[in-house]
Order: sequence, then C-alpha cells, then structure tokens
Amino acid sequence: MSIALTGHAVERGREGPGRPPRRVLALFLLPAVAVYSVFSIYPLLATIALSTRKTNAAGLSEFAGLANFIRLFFDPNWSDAFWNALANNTLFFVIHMAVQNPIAIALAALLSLPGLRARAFYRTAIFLPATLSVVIVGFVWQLILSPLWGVSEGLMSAVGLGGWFAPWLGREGSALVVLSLMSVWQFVGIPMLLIHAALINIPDDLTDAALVDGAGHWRIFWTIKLPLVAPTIGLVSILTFVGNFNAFDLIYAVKGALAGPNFSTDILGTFFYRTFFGHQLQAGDPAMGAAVATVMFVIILAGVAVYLLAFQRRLKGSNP
Amino acid sequence: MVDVRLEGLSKRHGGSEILRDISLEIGDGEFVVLVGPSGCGKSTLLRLIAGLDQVSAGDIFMAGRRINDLPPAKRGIAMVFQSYALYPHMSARRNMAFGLRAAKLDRAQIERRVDEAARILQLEDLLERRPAALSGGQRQRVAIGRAIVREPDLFLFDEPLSNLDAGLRVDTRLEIARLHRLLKATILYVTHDQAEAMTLADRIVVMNDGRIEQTGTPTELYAGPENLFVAGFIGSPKMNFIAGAQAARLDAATLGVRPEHLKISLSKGSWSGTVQMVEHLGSDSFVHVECPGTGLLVARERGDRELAAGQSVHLAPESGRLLRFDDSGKRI
Ligand SMILES: Nc1ncnc2c1ncn2[C@@H]1O[C@H](COP(=O)(O)OP(=O)(O)OP(=O)(O)O)[C@@H](O)[C@H]1O
Ligand SMILES: [Mg+2]
Repeated sequence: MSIALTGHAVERGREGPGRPPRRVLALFLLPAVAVYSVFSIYPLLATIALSTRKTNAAGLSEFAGLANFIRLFFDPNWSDAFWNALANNTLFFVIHMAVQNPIAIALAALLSLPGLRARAFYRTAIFLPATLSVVIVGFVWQLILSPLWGVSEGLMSAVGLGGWFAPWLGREGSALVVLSLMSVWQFVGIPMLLIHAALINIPDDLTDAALVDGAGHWRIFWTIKLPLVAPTIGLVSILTFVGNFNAFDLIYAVKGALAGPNFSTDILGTFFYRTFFGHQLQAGDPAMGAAVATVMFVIILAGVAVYLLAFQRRLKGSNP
Repeated sequence: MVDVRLEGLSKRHGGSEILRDISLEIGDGEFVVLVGPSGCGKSTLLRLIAGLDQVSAGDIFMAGRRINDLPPAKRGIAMVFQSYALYPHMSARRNMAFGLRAAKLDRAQIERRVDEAARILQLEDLLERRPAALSGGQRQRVAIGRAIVREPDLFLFDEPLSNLDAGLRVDTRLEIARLHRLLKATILYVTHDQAEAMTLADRIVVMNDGRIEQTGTPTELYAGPENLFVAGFIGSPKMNFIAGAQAARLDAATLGVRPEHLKISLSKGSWSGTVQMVEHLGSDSFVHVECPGTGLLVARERGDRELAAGQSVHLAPESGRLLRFDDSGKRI
C-alpha cells in the first residue's frame, strides 16, 4: 500500500497500482451477489414470470400475458375481493401513520426531557411489546377485548363507561381499526427509539440559542426540533409503509385467513394467502397468487420510489 | 443599551464550585472582554447572565432591575456561541429572522431589520443559503447578524472567532470593533486570544479558577498587574519571572520583567548568559538567553540586530520596569 502514497501512483489515478485488480474485486463481491441473486432476485423474477401463466383445460401451464391481472382488476369474481383488500390495507396504513407517528414523536419528546427520572425504564417498557410475537400480542388483545371473558368491559364499567363497550373486534365497522391500533401498540416503540435517538443528537447549543433568541419550548419543538428529526420520521414512515403492505401475521393470528367478519379485515397479505394456497372451499391458484404478489411488489416499489425521490432529494438539498 | 451589574455570583455543579463570588459592573456601551485559562468558568458566567443556567447565589442586575428569575427570552440579551449554533435547516435569512418572528414583529419590520444587518455584515448575497453552504467566516457573520437584528440591550460573545483562521480572525475582529462603535452596544466578550482582548476591550476582566483576578483597561493590566497570575497571563511572550536570592535582595519573593524591558548588551548588565535561540518575527526578535543561576530569560530586540545562538550577552532591566511580588503572588 505504500506505493499508493507516492506521487507517481496518484498521477495514474483510479487504475493505479494501489487499487486491487478487478478480478480480486469480483471475487470479494461474488458471495454477496450470489446469495442476493439466489434468494431475492430469482424468486422475484420467478414470481413475475409465474403471474403471466395460467393452467389450460388440459391441465398444462401456458403463457397468458396480462390476463391474470385483468381478471384481478376487472373480473367481479376477483376484483371485489382485491379492491376490498387494497382499500383495507390502505386504511391499515393510514391509521398507522396517523396514530403511530404522533404518539412516537410525543413519547420521544417526553423521553428526551431533561431531568426525567427512570428514563431507561420507560424506554424499555414501551419498546417491550415490539419484542413479543405477533401471535401473543393478538391473543392477549383478543382476551382483553372479548365480550365474554375480557377485562375491558368490566374496567370500562368501573369508570362509568360500560355503556360504551362493544365487541369491537367482532364488528365489521370497527374490527380493522382495532387491529390497526393493536399493531400500533405493539410497534410504536421502534419509531419512538429512532426519533428519540435523532432528538438527542440535536446539539444543545441550538436549543440554547433559540431560548436566548426568545423562543419558548413549544416553538422550539415545532420550528427547530421537529424539522431536524423530519428525516427520521420519513424513514419511519417508509418502514411502516413497507411493513403494512406486507402485513399478514397479525390478521391471520386474530382473524384467520378469512379475515372476518365478512372480509372486513382482509388485507393484501391475507388475500394473497387464500389466493395462492387456497382456503377451505377455495382452491389454490399459484398463477393468480403470483399476480397478487406482483401487484403488492409494485405498490411497495412505487412507495419507496416516491420516498427516495421526494424525501432523499430534499435531504440532499439541505446538505450540499 | 443598559448597564449590567453582577453581585457575588456563585455557581456550583454537584459538589464543585465553578464560579465564586463574581462581582462586576459593565457600563452602558462598554466593551468588556473576559479572559482566562480554559475551564475557569467564562462560558458558565455567560450562561448565567443569559439565563440558560440558574445562579447558585448572588444577583444579576440590568438597568438597575434584578433579572435572576427572568427567563432568557425576557432578558433582552443576544448571545453568539462558539459553535455559532445556526439552525441548519433554515436559510441565513430565516436564521436571522428567527428571534424577530418569535417576538411577533410584523413582516415588514423583520424584513427591514434583516436587510439592514445583512448590509452591515456584507451578507446580502448569502441570505438565501443554508449554513452548510456557507464558509466559517460567513457563518460567523450570520451568527452575529442573528444577534444584532434583535437590537438587544446586551451582547454576549463566547469565543466567537476561535474557529476562524488567523487572517479572517483579524478581519472579523476589526468588524466587531466597528460594530461596537456603530451600535454603541454593551458587550461582554470571551476570548482566549490576547490580541483580541487587548485590541477590542475597553476593559479586560482576567478570570482564574472561578474568580476574577483583576479588572482594568488593557494598558492598566499590562503595566500594572496586581498579581503573578495576571502578570503571566497578559502579554506575549510571557513576562520573565526570577525567584530566589536575587529577588530576596530586593525584598520580594519573585521579580517580573517583560521581554521588551530587558536590554541586551555585549559588555555589561545585571545578568550574563548565553543565547540559546533567536526567534525572528521580522520587525522583532525574541532572544532566549540562558543565565546561570537565574534561568531562561526572554528579551525582545529589534529585528535587525544580529545575534546568534551560543553568543555571550548581558541583560539589564530598564529602570523602573522591574515588578516585585510577595510570597502570596501579590504585587508589592
Ligand atoms: N454541567 C456541568 N456539570 C459539572 N461541571 C461543569 C458543567 N459545565 C461546566 N462544568 C465545569 O465548569 C468549569 C468551567 O466551565 P466553562 O465551560 O465555563 O469553562 P470556560 O472558561 O468557558 O472554558 P473554555 O475556555 O475551555 O471554554 C469546567 O471545569 C467544567 O468542567
Ligand atoms: Mg467556554
């Protein structure tokens, strides 16, 4: 490597003797590229390929072009369920964004209050549910909310709100909202930790300067701290988006693959599961399933692309 | 602009006493410079005055009013931080307008004051840039601009020039001196830099270990240091100190003489020794002379005088320039 330090090597630039030859670079890249190709690229391409095939009357697989997608979007046998799942999934995501982010920001702000005692305890306690299995969380909340043996009706009666109780998980109108809130409850610790880390990274000098400048704590929060943690909030949002449109486990654990009542909690993950593997009277259709998976992939890709273009570019603009 | 009075200020953090019994008066429109070694409590004192920390004891008065319990926002003080503390997500203009918006001034007035400050500081072309797109000196000027737009009663500067290179430092120093004349502002200014302190100050406050050692005009401190600490701290190169029998002969524990008050002669003098090293600065040279029995003495000579290492020379103090200190370090 000492050669690289001489002026001679510098003149030769990037291809200088200090750089290892390309063959060596390729050798070191090979393991990662191989693993990524076998376990990510290949299944993705295979899924997309599968989504363009169908089984003909003779039971043989043949190329069908975009027929599966057209059926999915327009054939009432499929499209009703598909659009229902997509709408539910969108609501699932909107509730996460509207509830999880503000709560996470508020908790992070409280956690970074100077002079807070037992900070580590609160942080751990709030983060704890994120380490639990989704199955356990679903089961516990089902018990809590159960109209038969749940504690919630009793607790609400005790404070005079008994009349407000309803079997929310069993109602078409509220089941999805309740499931979303359960998921928020479980995972709010993760965005909270990320935002907390971003908040404590803001130099004290900035808040001191703003205080001397005559700003109150409220104003400092809105005009200094929040804009400075916006990149983290953006990151949290895109992670939530990806997680929500890939979600499956919580609904399956609480409601099963039929996502009842009456498909009111059906999201793309559960819809895909029934389509691909089949469920009860419905026979599995791998090609249609692949089409659903491809649509999910495109939705997530689009979301991430919007995030990268809009958010990341603005970030670059601020730190040229 | 107002006068500021500190009475018996103390500050403790945990068990340690960081400031002890600080009393100081700053006149209306006066430029007071605070100097002292690192960790002596200069920043802490500024934070107390700004209201960012609470005093442990003592009182702070501005214009005769006790302000101990006022929040920073109500004190009418602007502070320039060593790190500049510019808001990274706001343009220079928004940075400067921040305090005015917090004070709910109307838009036109904010605009006018920011433009005026930008003109004074020659920032007009940079107003739409964010701090990341500004050089160190430009950030520094934005930070000063953010302070002056508020037209505060008192400016606090915490080592504002320490991140600048030598040339820019001199320029900005002149700029601050000009601003002081222009705004007739009351300023309390912390620095490590001797030249900054001597050139800017109406009065210098020398601090050490949480206490004020001496207060006075630059010339007073230079010519008449009250104790060994101030004598050694003010002036560069440092004052020569001579202890032992030679000092005892003059009824002192330590003698002090500044390098420029030592005359070099080839024939006779109070001390004789060998030249160890000559530092040429152009107009002046610092001649380091090792005198057996006395120690290393530094003399300041005209730059064109030819002296070489190894040469034997004699040194003598100018008459009346020898300072005497007793065992406790107090000047006699
Ligand atoms: N929050 C704190 N808790 C305990 N000690 C502190 C705290 N802040 C400052 N100190 C101590 O107070 C002393 C004075 O600190 P201060 O920052 O005022 O020094 P300074 O004179 O500004 O030094 P410098 O010239 O290096 O900036 C230091 O010894 C420092 O360790
Ligand atoms: Mg300091």
